[in-house]
Amino acid sequence: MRQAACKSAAFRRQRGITLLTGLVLLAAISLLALVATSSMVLQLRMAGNFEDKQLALQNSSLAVIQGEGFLYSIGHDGRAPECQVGCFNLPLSAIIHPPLDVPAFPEYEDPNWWRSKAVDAALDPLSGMRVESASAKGADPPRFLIEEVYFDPLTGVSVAADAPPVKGIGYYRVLGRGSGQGAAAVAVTESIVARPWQADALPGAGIRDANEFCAGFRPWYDCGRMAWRQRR
Amino acid sequence: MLPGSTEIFPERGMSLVELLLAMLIGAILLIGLVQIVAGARSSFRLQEGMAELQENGRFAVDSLANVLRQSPYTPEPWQNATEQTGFTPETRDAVSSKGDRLAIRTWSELNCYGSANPATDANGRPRFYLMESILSLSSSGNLAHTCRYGPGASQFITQVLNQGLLENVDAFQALYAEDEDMDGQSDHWVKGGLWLDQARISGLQIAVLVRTDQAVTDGIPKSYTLLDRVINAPADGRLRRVYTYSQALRGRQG
Repeated sequence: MRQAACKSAAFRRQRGITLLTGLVLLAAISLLALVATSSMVLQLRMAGNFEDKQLALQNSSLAVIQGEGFLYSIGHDGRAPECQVGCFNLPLSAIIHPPLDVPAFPEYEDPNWWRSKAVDAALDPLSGMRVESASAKGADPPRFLIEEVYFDPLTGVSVAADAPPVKGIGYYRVLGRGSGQGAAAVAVTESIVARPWQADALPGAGIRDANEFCAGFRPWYDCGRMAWRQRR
Repeated sequence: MLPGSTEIFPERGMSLVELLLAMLIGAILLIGLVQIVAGARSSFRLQEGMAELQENGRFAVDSLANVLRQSPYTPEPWQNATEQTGFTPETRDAVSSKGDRLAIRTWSELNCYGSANPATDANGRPRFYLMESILSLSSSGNLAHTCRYGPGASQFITQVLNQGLLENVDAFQALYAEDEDMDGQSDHWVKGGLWLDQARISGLQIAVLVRTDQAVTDGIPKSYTLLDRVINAPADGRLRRVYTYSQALRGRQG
């Protein structure tokens, strides 16, 4: 009887140690798993931020391309000939800003400023119809903004006899703003575009491709993208 | 001694043979365990080295993109250029055994520190000054950045001198895409300074060979191809990887 009691007590002690050892091992493994998980979460966040930054850049570039396309799509009668300031009528005057209307560093303006000044790149600015080629994922829709920075009336410039008649060349700053999946990732890109205006010619509306539009003006005149940079 | 105690604890005490046997088994187990731990440690160091290489590679690409993406920007393209932008004659192939040197100029209203130029125009806006960025490898294996800023090339002020962008770089190579007939398509790759006209360079390819700070593998000599050059790395046990990066000079696209 006594022998049985002693053996029973010994077994009870053994089971206790096993449980304790098991718990200690489990705790150690859990700790290791926790450390590994937190490291992985950090890596995942870093990769996510990088991806978001790239997405924002893509969206801003897309907005610039849409803005440039819109500029070429305006008919030649859209801008008053031989005019220097305030040369566009509504609704174009709400989309193409006069010189110095845009601050020196628009990339740091808040989203509300961009909503009030810039155009949603996914929509046609005149008809409000959705542009199929401009589908982009992002917290804020990509927007573009156009500023006429300089107009060269080409007075006193001798051009080749076979050159098409042009009433002047407008130089436009096209700014595009895009965001990533999170609103914190923002990119702003800028291009400077030359667009000849041909008051006597066909309206030319509907052309959204720089090469197609500029084919009739090169090599006699500046036409198309002249400069590009990422501002933010 | 209590009567019958040997029956209650029959396992008390071990013979010498049992003890030696237990020690032998223990030693075998311990040797196995040490090997597993050493293997795991080596694997961990390798993984850590690879992560370090990846991080350095990403940082190198990001830093180079920041410098090159803006270039060569011209704020007033309707005016006749008074200063040359784009690659300067300082851009050279194989300036050292470590690789090339890249020097590029652009117009910017922000100086080398990213601050707005205090000099303003008639409208109170920061003036655009010429900025020159030079990238090369130092003898100690750092990818270094020098930046100069001024109203013109003759009035440059060096604002950043050989600032280390990235350490542990074994080689730095660049090739340039030249559009010889100006049809909008790049015709061939040329080495730095060997182009017909730098204004016809439409893009570039850059390769950097980065290495880990510490030895993480067995020292086996290996060759790496960086664009048009083969680099023989020493058997120092460091992990190495080549990162190649392409960039169109988007300011020059029509």
